[in-house]
Amino acid sequence: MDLPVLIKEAKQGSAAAQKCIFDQLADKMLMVCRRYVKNPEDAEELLLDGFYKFFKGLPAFNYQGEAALYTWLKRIMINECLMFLRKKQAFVIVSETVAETIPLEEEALNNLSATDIFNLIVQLPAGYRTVFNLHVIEGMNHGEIASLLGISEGTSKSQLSKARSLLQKMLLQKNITYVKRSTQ
Amino acid sequence: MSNEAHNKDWVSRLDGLDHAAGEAGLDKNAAWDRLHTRIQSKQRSNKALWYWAAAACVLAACLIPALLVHKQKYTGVHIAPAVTYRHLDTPATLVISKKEAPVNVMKEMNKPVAAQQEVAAILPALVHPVNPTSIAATLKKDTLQITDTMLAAVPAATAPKKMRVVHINELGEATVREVVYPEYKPFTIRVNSPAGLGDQTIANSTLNIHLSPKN
Repeated sequence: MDLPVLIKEAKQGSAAAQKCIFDQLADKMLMVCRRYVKNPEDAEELLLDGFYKFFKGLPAFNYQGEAALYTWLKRIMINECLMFLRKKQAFVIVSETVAETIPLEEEALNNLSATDIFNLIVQLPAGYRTVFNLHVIEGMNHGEIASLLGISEGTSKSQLSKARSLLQKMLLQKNITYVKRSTQ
Repeated sequence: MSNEAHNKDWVSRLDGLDHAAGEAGLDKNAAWDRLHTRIQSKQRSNKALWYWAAAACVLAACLIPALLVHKQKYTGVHIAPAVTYRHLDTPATLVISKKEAPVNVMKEMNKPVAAQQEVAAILPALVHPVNPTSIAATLKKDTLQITDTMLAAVPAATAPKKMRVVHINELGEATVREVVYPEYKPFTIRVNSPAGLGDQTIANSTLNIHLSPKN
């Protein structure tokens, strides 16, 4: 069934339509949650919380295409994750104003599979991971990140810089392993 | 949005990732069951909340008019009666003197006018409120001061004594004649009178009538 029709029926409270939407989007949304929250059980719980809010707010949602729906749902999930991290005080971000600009090795990342990139990001500490996800993947600027996390822009920049630095090291290690594996 | 240029290829691939390698995927049916239960329970709790709110409204709608009606009755019952205070030009006082001796009935009976005057003086004081300051002033005037103690002997303000009930025969002829029964005429019945049994003589100071039975 088409997504617009499903949305229309889900708005009217059809459980079947809601289940169809859930089945279509749950996997992707779970991966979004996993990028922010390392623990799979916590991520699953946050997924359900996010979908609950999504279905609750669906009657007021004006459907303008699949991309808009996906963006809205993703934003709900990210907010849930950030609230969870804030509640659990999962990350303590030390305020720093000086940040070196370390360019990300896009080429190296492009050579990696999505699963490898996902595993690298998940290995980052919570603070670095959150800022990296928000800035690089969601495309938010440092002002938005600062207001969302309650930190200064400088701190957001320094966290991103450290995340990149750590990721470079990890990529380097990965490439070495990859080179070693390919030459053996 | 970020001004930094990123090669979005890896980002879009990451965004489209459905599951992590080496991990069991999400059990959608179980997850949906949990989510559906949560949605329904919330709906149920919301419904219950609305039912309670509706019940409370109905109860309030029933109680408020009843309370208002009851309140009107209640205020009607508990309105204090209006008290009107009469202004007295000269405050009524109860004059009690320690010199007043107990009433001697015989003497009082001999002075009917004086007794009436005293009663007339006391009656308003009993009927109308008594000014306590005047009583205090009166009592203070008649107080016996005992100098070596802190005590003061104060004559008790007693109500006028009841007059003793006296039989008319105890009053004496003169009193009865003057006060009680001015037309009192003593009479005697003589048995051995010239007229025989039943001859009565009504003694009167002014009129001496001799009644004899007419045979």
